[in-house]
Amino acid sequence: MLFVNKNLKLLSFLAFLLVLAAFAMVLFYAPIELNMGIVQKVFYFHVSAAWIGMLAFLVAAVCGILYLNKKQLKYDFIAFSAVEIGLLFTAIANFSGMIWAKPIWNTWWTWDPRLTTMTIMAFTYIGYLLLRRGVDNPEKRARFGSVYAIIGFASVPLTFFSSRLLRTIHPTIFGADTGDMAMIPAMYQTMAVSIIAFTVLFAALLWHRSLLAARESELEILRAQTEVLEFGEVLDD
Amino acid sequence: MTNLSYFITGYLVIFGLLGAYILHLLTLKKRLDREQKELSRQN
Repeated sequence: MLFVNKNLKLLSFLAFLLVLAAFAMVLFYAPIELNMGIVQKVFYFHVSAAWIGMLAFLVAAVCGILYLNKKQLKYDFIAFSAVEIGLLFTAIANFSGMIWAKPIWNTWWTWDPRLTTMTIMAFTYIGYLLLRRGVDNPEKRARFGSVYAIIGFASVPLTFFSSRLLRTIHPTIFGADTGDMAMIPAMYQTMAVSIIAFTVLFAALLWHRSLLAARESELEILRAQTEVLEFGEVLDD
Repeated sequence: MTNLSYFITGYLVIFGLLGAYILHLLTLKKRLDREQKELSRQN
């Protein structure tokens, strides 16, 4: 089983229920937007996924700082897990955004500042995963990963503020002076529940993945020890 | 494609990606269990 303790089991179950509740609100509670029609309802999970993607990269950067200060590998496991999950949610935001864009903008993709910076952000963190694969020493890998996660985080505010500072067709929801998309309370409530649901889901996934990352590391060390023992036996023979 | 089919596709992609990741975690867990058994047998 993937559940190693009671709290994690509880958190996972809560995440499942919240995602289900959020989806039910999307289907039955949120009204259909007048101009865009039902496809606008993709917005609730699209925004939540984009938000969690950025939160995950923030967690990775914070864990990077903590690792460099305390030299405890657990922070590296959390940072790595946060980046992997952050990329998952960034991919969800990108693909759902493309599906929403097709009937509204009449194109799957456009090199708009928000879409471009989001792609740069995603490739920055794909680079993080590739870099880690190339380093065998766990401490060296953690050190490189931490520095990369901290520097790579620069791409996150760039993405967040791109639609506020540059000319873009992408609507701005948070912190916009004028509402780009007219929203009524039921829409805000559905969005809030979706964001909470995705945040709890992120916490549960991060916990699961960090535990697995720790186990991967233990096995890596065990494997290396076994190889040394086998090599010693060959030399003795 | 109609507006409704884009909506359905959107949520299929969202839940599909989430499901695929959870499946990836379960597969990883199984692989780690198997490797641990093999290594403890070798030692």
